[in-house]
Amino acid sequence: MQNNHQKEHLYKILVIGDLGVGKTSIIKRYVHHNFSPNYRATIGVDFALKVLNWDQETVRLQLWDIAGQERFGNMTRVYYREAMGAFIVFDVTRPASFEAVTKWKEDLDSKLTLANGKHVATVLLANKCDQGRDVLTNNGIKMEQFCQENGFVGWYETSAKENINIDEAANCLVKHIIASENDMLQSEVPDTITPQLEKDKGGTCSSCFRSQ
Amino acid sequence: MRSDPVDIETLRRAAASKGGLLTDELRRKVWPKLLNINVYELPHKPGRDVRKNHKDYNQVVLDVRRSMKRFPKGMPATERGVLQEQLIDIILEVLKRNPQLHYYQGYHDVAVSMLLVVGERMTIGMLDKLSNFHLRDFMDPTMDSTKHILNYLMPILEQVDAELHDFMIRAEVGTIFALSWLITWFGHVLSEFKHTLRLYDFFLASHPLMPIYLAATIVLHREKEVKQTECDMAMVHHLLSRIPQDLPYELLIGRAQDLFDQYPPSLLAKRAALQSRKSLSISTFKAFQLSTLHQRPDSVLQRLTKAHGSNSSGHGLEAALPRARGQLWGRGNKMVKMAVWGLSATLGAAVFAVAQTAMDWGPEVLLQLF
Repeated sequence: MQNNHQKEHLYKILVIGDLGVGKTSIIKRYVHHNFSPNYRATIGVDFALKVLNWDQETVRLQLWDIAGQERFGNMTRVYYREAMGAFIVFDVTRPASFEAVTKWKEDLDSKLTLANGKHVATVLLANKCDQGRDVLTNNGIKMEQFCQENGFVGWYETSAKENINIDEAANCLVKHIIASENDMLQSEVPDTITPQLEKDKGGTCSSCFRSQ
Repeated sequence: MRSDPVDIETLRRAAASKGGLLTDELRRKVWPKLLNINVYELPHKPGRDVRKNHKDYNQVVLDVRRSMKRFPKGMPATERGVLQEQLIDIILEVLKRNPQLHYYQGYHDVAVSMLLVVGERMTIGMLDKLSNFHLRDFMDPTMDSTKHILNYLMPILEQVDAELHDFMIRAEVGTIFALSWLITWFGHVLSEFKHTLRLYDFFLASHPLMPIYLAATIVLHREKEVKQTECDMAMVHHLLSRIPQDLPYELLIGRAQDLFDQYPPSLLAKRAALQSRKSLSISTFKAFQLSTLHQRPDSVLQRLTKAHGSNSSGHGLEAALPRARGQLWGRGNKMVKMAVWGLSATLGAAVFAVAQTAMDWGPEVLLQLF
């Protein structure tokens, strides 16, 4: 996945969450620096690449835009493979999309574990913050607590439309991915750093990672 | 169109042949015949209560609101707004009539493609039929049947280009790149509506698996690009999921038909991976094809409807064919027939392949008749 941790890094990042919360918009804002109110529903999975300079090193981010409709779930989980980090997105104007956050997180953790047995770094995004601040996000302390309890490394109020906190959230995620990668490099022999799903045996891809 | 019963094979050939049905005027007349729909007995407009307590309401609204790109660029926002509201009602109405069917994202792309051509009431009729036949597998509670249909893609590639097939297997790219192509009949991914309509002509006249054969021809058409890409799941998925907008559609449609004739689903299904599951779209297709063979021409249907003395049904057609009314309607049948025959005459060799498919259906159809 990466040639050498000193030169170039390639990280796969998942963007998940309920339908219509703005996953595609966040990716387009981050990668193409624009916004359109006309993005269509994502069917299946979509994909975008972002290149960053990070401490004189090149970081390539593969952003995987996963369809939000539940019924696509058993088709799209195969794309969780080898991911190093994730954004879970909800819409601050739709409480139901926040209620689904724990479901998405549990699903992610059950499908994907790093080689050192830890979960992948995940940042929570409270999107569409330009459209008013829901009670859920008014209280920062409560959200901090929610993140700790549910294993998020951080959370941001974001707006893809107004370009609020998208870069900050991505930097936070990359920082944690690099930290967990270093953690694994130090604790493990080098060739076990790639996380992977247990090989699919022809059924659904709901199997958990088997750590050596 | 005027023969009794309607010469459905000729209509099918015309819809699959070069250029398809060419105009929306023709589509409004031929599409319902391809689905065995009596345009004089169309479903009524859904009432307000269709939106009440509908489990899919929120999701359908979200998807339809996000479908603005599917409407013509110059369309005034108010007109589009009216059509979007109709679209929501149409989808909810068809789902309400068929509790066994489950909404999927992309279903709205199929619905809007028809709404823009045939209007609200005929869209309900067509979508109802399509959902129970061609789209049936996508509307199960899970997408397992859809996965099954996608599984036909790789064996087709294997038959034609083993090297390409092996490359894609090594890349582990899977077939999800073709998911939106299949379940929206390409409506979700093509930016030019005329191309979508051309494909709808073809698919309405074809076997439910035809979109997979077309998907295969598109991948095969891009064979060089694919092989030059890094053999990596992300890269190959990225390349294939972005469909070029300048595809030679007529050529690809012809090839898809050839592939279908050469490697029919029954042949591909002999492969182990495809035997495990039963597809409702495939298993009900023959009976559906049969049902289309005994349609009365519109002139007869109109007489029969009038004989029932129902005035409201008479209005049905006017509502259903918003732009097909007036003088044209009186001589419409003749024009359609001439256009269809004109097309058939220019087909040449291409027709031969299509006709052979029709012949394939022939014996079974006859056997079941006697």
